[in-house]
Amino acid sequence: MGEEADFDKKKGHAHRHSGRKAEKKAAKDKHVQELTAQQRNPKAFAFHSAVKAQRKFVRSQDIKSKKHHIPLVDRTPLEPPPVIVAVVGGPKVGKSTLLRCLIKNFTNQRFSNINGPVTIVAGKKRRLTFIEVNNDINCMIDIAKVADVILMLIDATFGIEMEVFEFLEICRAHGTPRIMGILNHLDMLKDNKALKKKKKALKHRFQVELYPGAKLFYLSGLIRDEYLKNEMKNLGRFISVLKFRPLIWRTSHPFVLVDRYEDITNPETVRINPKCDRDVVLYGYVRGIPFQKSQMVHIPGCGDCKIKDLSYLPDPCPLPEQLKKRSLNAKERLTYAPMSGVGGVVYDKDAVYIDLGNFHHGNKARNKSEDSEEEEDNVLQPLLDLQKTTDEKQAQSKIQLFPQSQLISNDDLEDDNENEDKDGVITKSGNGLPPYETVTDNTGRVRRRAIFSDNLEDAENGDESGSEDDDEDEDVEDDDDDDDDDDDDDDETENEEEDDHAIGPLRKKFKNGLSHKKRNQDYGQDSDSDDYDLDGDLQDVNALQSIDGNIKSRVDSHMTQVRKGSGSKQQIPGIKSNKDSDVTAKIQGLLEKINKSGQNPKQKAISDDSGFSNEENDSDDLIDDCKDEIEGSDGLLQDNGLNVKPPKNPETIDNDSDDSDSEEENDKLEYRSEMLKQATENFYKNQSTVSYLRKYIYGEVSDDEKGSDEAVEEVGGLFKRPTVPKSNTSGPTSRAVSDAVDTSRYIPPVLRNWSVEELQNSIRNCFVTGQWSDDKDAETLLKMDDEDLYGDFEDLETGTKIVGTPKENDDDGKVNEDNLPETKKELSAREKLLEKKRRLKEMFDAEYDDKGTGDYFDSLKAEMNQQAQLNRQEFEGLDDDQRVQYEGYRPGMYVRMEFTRFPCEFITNFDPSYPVIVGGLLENETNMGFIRVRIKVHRWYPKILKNRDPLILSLGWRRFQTLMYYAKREDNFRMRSMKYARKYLHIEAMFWGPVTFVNTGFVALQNITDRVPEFRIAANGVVLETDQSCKIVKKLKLLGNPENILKKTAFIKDMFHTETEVAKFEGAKIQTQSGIRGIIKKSKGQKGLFRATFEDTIKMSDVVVLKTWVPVEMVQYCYSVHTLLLPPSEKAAWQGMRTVAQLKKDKGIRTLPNPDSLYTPITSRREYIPQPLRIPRELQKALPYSEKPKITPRSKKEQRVIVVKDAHEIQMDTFMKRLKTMMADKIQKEEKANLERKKKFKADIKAREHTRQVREKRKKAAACRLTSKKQGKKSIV
Amino acid sequence: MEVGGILTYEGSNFFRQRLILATLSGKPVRIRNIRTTSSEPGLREHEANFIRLIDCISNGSIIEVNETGTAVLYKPGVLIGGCLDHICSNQRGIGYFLEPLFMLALFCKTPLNITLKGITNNKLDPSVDMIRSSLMPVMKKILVVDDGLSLKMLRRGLPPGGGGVVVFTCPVRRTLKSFQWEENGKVKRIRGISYTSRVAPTVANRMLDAAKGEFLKFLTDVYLTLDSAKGSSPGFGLCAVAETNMGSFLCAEAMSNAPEEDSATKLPEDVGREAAWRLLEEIYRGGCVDTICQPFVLLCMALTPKDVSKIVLGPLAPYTMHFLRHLRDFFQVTFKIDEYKEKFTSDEMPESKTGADKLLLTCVGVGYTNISKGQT
Repeated sequence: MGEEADFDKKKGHAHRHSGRKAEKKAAKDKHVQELTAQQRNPKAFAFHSAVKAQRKFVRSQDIKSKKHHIPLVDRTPLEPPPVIVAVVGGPKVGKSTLLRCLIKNFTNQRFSNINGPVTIVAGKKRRLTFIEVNNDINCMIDIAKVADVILMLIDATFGIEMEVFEFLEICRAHGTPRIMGILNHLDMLKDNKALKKKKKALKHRFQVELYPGAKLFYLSGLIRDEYLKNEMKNLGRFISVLKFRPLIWRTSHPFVLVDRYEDITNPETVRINPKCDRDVVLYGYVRGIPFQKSQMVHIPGCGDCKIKDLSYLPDPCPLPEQLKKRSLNAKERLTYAPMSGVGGVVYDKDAVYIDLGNFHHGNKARNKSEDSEEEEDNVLQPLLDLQKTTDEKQAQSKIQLFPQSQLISNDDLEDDNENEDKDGVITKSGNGLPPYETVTDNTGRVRRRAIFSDNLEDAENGDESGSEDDDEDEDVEDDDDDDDDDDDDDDETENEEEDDHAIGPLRKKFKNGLSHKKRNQDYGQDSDSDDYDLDGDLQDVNALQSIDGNIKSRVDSHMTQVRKGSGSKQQIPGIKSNKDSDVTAKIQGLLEKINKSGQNPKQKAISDDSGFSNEENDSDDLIDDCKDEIEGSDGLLQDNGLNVKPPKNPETIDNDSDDSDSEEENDKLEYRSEMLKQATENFYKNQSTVSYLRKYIYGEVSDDEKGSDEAVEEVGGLFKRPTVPKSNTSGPTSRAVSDAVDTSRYIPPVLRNWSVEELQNSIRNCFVTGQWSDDKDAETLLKMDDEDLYGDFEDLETGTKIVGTPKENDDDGKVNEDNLPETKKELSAREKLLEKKRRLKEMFDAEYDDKGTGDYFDSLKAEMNQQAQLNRQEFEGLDDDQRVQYEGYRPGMYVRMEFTRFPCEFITNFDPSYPVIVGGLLENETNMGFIRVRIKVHRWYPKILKNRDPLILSLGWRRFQTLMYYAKREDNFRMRSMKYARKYLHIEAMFWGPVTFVNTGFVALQNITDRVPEFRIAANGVVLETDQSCKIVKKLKLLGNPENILKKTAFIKDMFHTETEVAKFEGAKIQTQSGIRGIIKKSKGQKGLFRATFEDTIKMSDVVVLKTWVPVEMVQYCYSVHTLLLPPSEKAAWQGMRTVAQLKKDKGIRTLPNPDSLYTPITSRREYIPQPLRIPRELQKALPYSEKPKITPRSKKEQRVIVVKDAHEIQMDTFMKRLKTMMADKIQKEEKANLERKKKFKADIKAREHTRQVREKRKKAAACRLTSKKQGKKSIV
Repeated sequence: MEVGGILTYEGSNFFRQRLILATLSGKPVRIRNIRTTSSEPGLREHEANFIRLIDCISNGSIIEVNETGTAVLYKPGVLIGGCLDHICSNQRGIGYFLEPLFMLALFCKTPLNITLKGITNNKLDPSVDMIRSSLMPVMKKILVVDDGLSLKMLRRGLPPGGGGVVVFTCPVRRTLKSFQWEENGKVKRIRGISYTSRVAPTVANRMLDAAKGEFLKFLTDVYLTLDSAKGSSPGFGLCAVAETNMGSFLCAEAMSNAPEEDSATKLPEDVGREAAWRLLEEIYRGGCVDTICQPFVLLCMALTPKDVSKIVLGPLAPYTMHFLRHLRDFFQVTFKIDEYKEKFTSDEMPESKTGADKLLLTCVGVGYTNISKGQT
């Protein structure tokens, strides 16, 4: 690829197309019809062998099916997030330069120093995020998990470095992204031939490592510290047209590559305690799949945390809005790199920040201008160091007016007007509460008005006497309020959303104009939240009672009115007494109120039931309340009003009837039955009001479209029944519901009489015998068929659009076609053309894409496509606020994630060269368990992996250290513990770690320190299973001794300690060392003695062995690698738990070997003396003579006389010796001469023989010739 | 709501929902104040029994119940499945235990094969007949390939004696498939079973006649079978199921009062008619699945890969609504609830006459994977 691009081609020869020369040439080689071999010789290609044909077919099918990948649903969004391009390579290989040049190529901007990710708009439809990867292996691992494109820089002068191989290995485990090799420093090689050779060799190696045909670019050198423009352009083009295959992990997990972070901790708390936990906001594009609002995430190098708040922001680096037929202009080529300090303008949730270079982050600026500001510092520093504010100090300070008098503090002074002050404190210090102003009513009540910037509630506070004509808005508000009161007990269950709701009540307060009362309640709510905390500890405390009590006590202490209210409570005895079935009781209470309200409204206004605060005199509202109560209390059915259960449902109804029998009056009953009837009728109607349902179920799902117009619904013509439900989720589950019968069966409370004609008619069409809708009605279908047959012949020919085109012809046909022609007319010619084009393209696509035979694969693919389309279209129309609720924060959105209680080291040790990734975790992935994996030691790893040695794994998003237990899967599926991981073979292993899905790949490292000579990837593997218990077993032999032997039965001791142990092993096989097999029968006595039977009698000296397997106890150790939190110097040097060997080495402990296993010198070994063979006399007799042992009398050895020679004799001896030697020499020589002569003689004879043979041959030949001459003529005949 | 990172609920209601969803999502759950105001506070026998059932199909789960039984802390483990036996409490029917098993069985490590003993038909819970005729077809549809799914009632047992035996086997899946069921179709046939136990067999015929009389006003394809069992307790009832041409099933049941109840005994004709009317009510409610299947089918929608699933349902039962709420708590799935508008309804028909207004529920799956299912 790149090779061709390097050279400018010479202008080639231009052939003539016309003129004389061209004619001449054309005449010279006339075009002859080219026939293929098959055409020329069809016979040769005829069908010959069925077997061959079959093989051919099978082969072609094999090839075809090998090309298939499992079709996946394409979940890439319409506007995808920027593509992450990572630049990887060893140190000093030119990564930063390349990055700078690439950015310059795309944006025409020169970056001086690049920190962290840089996002740019690269084209009309593509954005890129560049990131440089340093050589820390942690960094490489993290990047390999998120990058879409890897630019792998290789120094040509040096060759491929270990880092590259390691990186490739990591990629393989986590899903290989697109990898492009870039060969750098080619200008260092001067010799052209060597250059070519090097290129070839490296390309080959690269393709071996990656895949055949992997791309390798060549950068031919630097000009003014920049790579050649042409080369950058080519590389840029390649990057911007790449396509990606979805990787499983990334299409099942959401993630964010953080390109900006912010510390939003209160600076004051940081100043007081610099090591306090921080609140951090991280920003980035969502990738993968949608993020959920409060999802658990893992930040590699930091740990697990939960998103506190997630919101989307306007895209800081958006694609051009309109696609024009030109390349991007400079304005549209945006850059976004906050960590490098580029981009200037920064958006937050509710603000826009403009970055003024110098003052950025404060640190740098301060460093620069430290000298000049020293004086100012002197002034400011004491102020900054203040621990408390002046007010606080003042409050704490004490004065002693007279000696020996008490110290007077500020608190004492304020004791008198405690109440107001406390209230004031509540509102003032209540963070998030809006300011308020105090207003005095015409009735003399003091009320506080909350001041909002948008004055929605104008002047309506005056007429809160709320007639029916009150506009909807107020009604809604009022009712909300009521709900709030009703749900007091639920409010206490809210925890963190308190702040949000805190604004609500105030607003309502102002509405209702009951300042005292309200304040009380406010107070109550606050203390409720306290109660809640208590509740957390005291679970068994009856919440309802306590709250009732609370309210009562509060009310007693503060208000006299309420005493009367409690009096009114006493008026209805027996209702409060059984609180768990208070649904009906409440209804009654309300009904009673309704009754009374007509008589003495004043008293009514005062009377107050603990649960509800009925401030208004309206009977309407009371009824509202009443209905609400019915709903609120009986969450099972509350939404549809049907919840008022008729005496069919067992439990509540019984109470109900009891109560009502005793107390209710006739008109009450009447009223109730009336309401029941209403409710029953409205049952299905209410169900269909979807917005209501949504709100009922989900509470806050924002639904702007329909919410307003369905706010009020009429009940019984008289009363307005608000459909606005409780706003919080926990609201509707009141006490009565929470302990109701748990059943999924829904028996309609009223059994309607289906013998009535009306009702029957309402479901007439649910049956096949009923009327069908038009598109399915047999009659109409038949009609349509006819028309198709005779009306629109040509449509069948034109093909696809049978529905579209025929509609034009029969205008008077069916209803659903009526609107079609109209729309047709509206379409302009251009649109028509477009439509036609689209249709043609569709046809072409259909034909081109699945020219397959419509097999399973194709149908699967089609299904996936359909699903993908549905996914995209389903929520397309909705606005983002709503969409986010259903879908989550979809990929491509720029989000702001807020985290609380983040370790402060994240901020203090932040290093932009380390990528921060927020990886979403799915359900179950936050749990821990025993993970069974298949693992293989890397072939380049020099060491052996030992059982239980700590290993750093990179699995899923996480990096953690754990202890690996190796095991071998035996044929009976037993996992047998192994001491070492076998080399060159896959082996199973288990470890304690975070639950991860099956088939997730991982890499294992022992050493993550920087720059070690060896290959750092120790092993790689894949997850096979998750469990909560260990499956690895090891062999265990239990030994016992016989105590008593009775023939084949024996009593064995010493094997077990207790009876129960024996009981566990009853029926187990045992064996003696000599191989006599037996079985455990039964325990005998207390001390583990048992009876066993054997196949033969055993001996008392036998050892009885029970072979069994015990599960290995695995240490539950898992420690995630917190590289992001470490100071820069330690980042690459983290070690974690050391192996035993390392520990011993470091501490200088030597292991003393077991003396039994040492080799010792063999001290004394007896010599082997074989016994003489003795043949019995009988046998001897029977043997033949030759075999019989010969008994020869031992001959006596001759006793030789010792000769002592004198001098002469010695002389003679030596002389004789010499003579002998001379003689021997002579004989030797003679023999040699003889041999030679003999040889010569033989050769001579041979030669003579040869000549003789030749002569005789010749003679024979002559003779033969003669004879043949004589006989020749005969033979011819 | 969440307390210290643990989802916390109050009260005994929806006990099963919470435990099931906790098991599937792997999140611990705490339930407090269980019947604190009741005269007999704490867990009932059937709830304890259910906890035991959960414990025996899972591995590594931790269940802590306080002394009074008013608070439960449940930390889920891994679902293992396998061949099991369980004796259900006689306080509730087998349906109470079987329904959760339908939800859990798909995500076990090994296929579940469980024998449940107890009460097969009672008034409070969906009976085994109902589950077999309405939940099973839904399950079959969701499994796509039916390899070893079966629910057999070996013996019928009515309250209070019980003694029924049911065998449920279910295959496991790593992932589910998303689906769009947007048409419920029209009822083409009605089937049913009229059962008696320790009463005269003619009772079954009387119920059958009464029910059939009601159905014949709409449809001729009605076929009800008789089943006379020799159980330990007397009783009778009728379970009817309507099948539509799109393959959805709607089911309803009515049965006699148990002998221990004080209420008057019902006439067989009344029971038959009640069953028929309930089925008609169910048809009126309509939807692609019937009321008792609603939670199950919604769960299956939520646990699909990150794809859009749709379903048309009749009016939601309160239990379903709470289930939706719980689904959001545990899985953060929000369903989009829309009115269902039938396509191509012409103006000629003033009213559709197809019962209650239907709802169209849409959701994006959570991308759930069965973590316990291993690979060799």
